[in-house]
Amino acid sequence: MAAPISKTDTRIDDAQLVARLKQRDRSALGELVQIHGAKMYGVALQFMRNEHDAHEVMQDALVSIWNKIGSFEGKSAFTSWIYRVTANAGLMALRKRKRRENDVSLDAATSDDEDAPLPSLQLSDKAPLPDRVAMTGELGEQVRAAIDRLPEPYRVVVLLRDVEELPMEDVMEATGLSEPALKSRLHRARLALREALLPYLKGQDIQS
Amino acid sequence: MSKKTFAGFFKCLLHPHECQRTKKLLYEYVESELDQETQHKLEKHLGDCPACLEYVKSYRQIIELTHKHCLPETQMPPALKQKLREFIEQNPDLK
Repeated sequence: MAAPISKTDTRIDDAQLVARLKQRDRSALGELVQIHGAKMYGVALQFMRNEHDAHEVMQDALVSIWNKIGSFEGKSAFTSWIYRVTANAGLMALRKRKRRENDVSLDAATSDDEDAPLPSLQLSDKAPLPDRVAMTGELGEQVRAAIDRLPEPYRVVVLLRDVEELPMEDVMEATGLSEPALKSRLHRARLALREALLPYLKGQDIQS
Repeated sequence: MSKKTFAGFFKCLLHPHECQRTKKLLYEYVESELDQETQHKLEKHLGDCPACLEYVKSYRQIIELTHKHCLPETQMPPALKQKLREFIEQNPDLK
């Protein structure tokens, strides 16, 4: 039986991957997909909600990783960096999709006014829930379903900020939102999720 | 309802503006963006008001749950893996 991969092993693998990518070793990209592809795919699927578009996002992310690896200085973990690149590729793809659909923007029909009603979490006909493999129980399922049902502009900020934990500055840059607008939208998205998930929070271990 | 919760319930009835203020400052409080004095006042209210305390806790919990349950590791379909391999080998942008 193969020995389990430790965190140290992963770091060594990542350091070697980074070095090889910087040396323009294209085969390192294949290994990157082998090692981190599942998580990258998970991130891409979160944004796009279907396999075909998630595939395109992964391709875009691989091109970005290849082109930007020179700017990776190792200040954050390589994994965080590649997931961030994938999240950005997802956001860009969503924007493209919106333009194709002739929507005004990701901000359409969005109010960041604090006193406006909260975004409603309703199933959308044209946005099927993604097919997922690994489920971690009912609560996890409900959390993911609630996020999937957020209107797109709210879903995007939750994915970038609360799921991927990108710094505010990066989310502002990626979404083009001002700081007050981003804060307000994120707050309203969290409140909507809270409202939707309240029945599932009872009995959970709440950490203050 | 415990004695403390009961007392807190009535305090909240007497000072509804404090509860409204807490909700207004919720984001800044959770993100640690409040100045010390405002934070102290808000925490004093949380000590008196079980409803607001519960509200803050559940808001925090949503952030934690979102992060915990939405970082999926999803198995990639084998056909997709193969397509990506071909993409890496053949794409002219990857030179």
